[in-house]
Amino acid sequence: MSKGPDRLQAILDLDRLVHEPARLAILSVLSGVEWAEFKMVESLTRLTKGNLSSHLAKLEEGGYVAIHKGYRGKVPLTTLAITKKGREALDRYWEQLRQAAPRRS
Amino acid sequence: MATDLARLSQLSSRYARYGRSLPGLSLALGGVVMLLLLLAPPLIGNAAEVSWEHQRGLLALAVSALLALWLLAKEGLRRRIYQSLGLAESRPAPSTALFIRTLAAGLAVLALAYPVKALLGPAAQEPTSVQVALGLTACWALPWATLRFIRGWQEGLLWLVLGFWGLALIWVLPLWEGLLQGKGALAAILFAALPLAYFGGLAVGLVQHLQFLRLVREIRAQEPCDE
Repeated sequence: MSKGPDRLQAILDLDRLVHEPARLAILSVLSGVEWAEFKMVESLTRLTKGNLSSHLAKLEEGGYVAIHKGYRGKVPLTTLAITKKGREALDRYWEQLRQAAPRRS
Repeated sequence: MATDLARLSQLSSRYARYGRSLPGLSLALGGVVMLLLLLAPPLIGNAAEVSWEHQRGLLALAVSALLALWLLAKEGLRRRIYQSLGLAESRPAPSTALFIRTLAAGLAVLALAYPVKALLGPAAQEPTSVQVALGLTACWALPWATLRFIRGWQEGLLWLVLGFWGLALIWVLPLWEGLLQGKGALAAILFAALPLAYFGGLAVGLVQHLQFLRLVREIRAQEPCDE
């Protein structure tokens, strides 16, 4: 069972890239699929295009999300997928949160 | 927050299943195609008073066209309805991928068997070369279409039933007459299986579609994640 200082350390160790609510939502959406189109993540998270793009760029930079830009016919198609590193980071994040949560007696 | 995010992941996962494993209304459409396949032989027989071999050529064309139409309609439904909020696919289960590859391999064996029957069989001289060529094209397209368009178990099973039912109509000599007279074990099995498959497909397809409509309502009711 985690004690006070351990819980504090768990909070301090939280991955800041994952901890931001919008990015956490994006990773949660992508963790449920093999891949998804940009539009689908936009529909589920209800983030604006600009906001979503900016968070995705940070997640891609961290190696948590893979972004593929292509075409379907003549229409541009951006597909997103969570990487193995991203999935591990998300699992670790939830584990750390569980450790940091105060126990009810 | 954790509950909301778990729900978000669950919503995306449910939505993505319609991009791969849940066929929705295309199952119900499959039932309609099955009925049309059942009606094709007497319609063709009445319309064209020609030999069985020529009827078989026409039947092969009708079966190929119906199967192609079902695939097109299925893809149309997937893109226009089931992926209307954006494309997404769930992770394929290894067993599903194996099933689809096995199905394609089985159809490839049939595709190889067709030329042997068409070119070397006792009725080789009867069909015109155009009919043989069209039959060959349709047969050889089946394994490709399976790998390209079939994504899940339910679609695969329906494709198998439609494919075998179509091939049985074309290949098993006057199966339709046997069906009408209620003769033979195959006729009995088909008579029993068709209504079951038709109503089963219709019911499952409609339930999946209603569940999808509810899912879309839930997705649209989501709060923005940055507020």
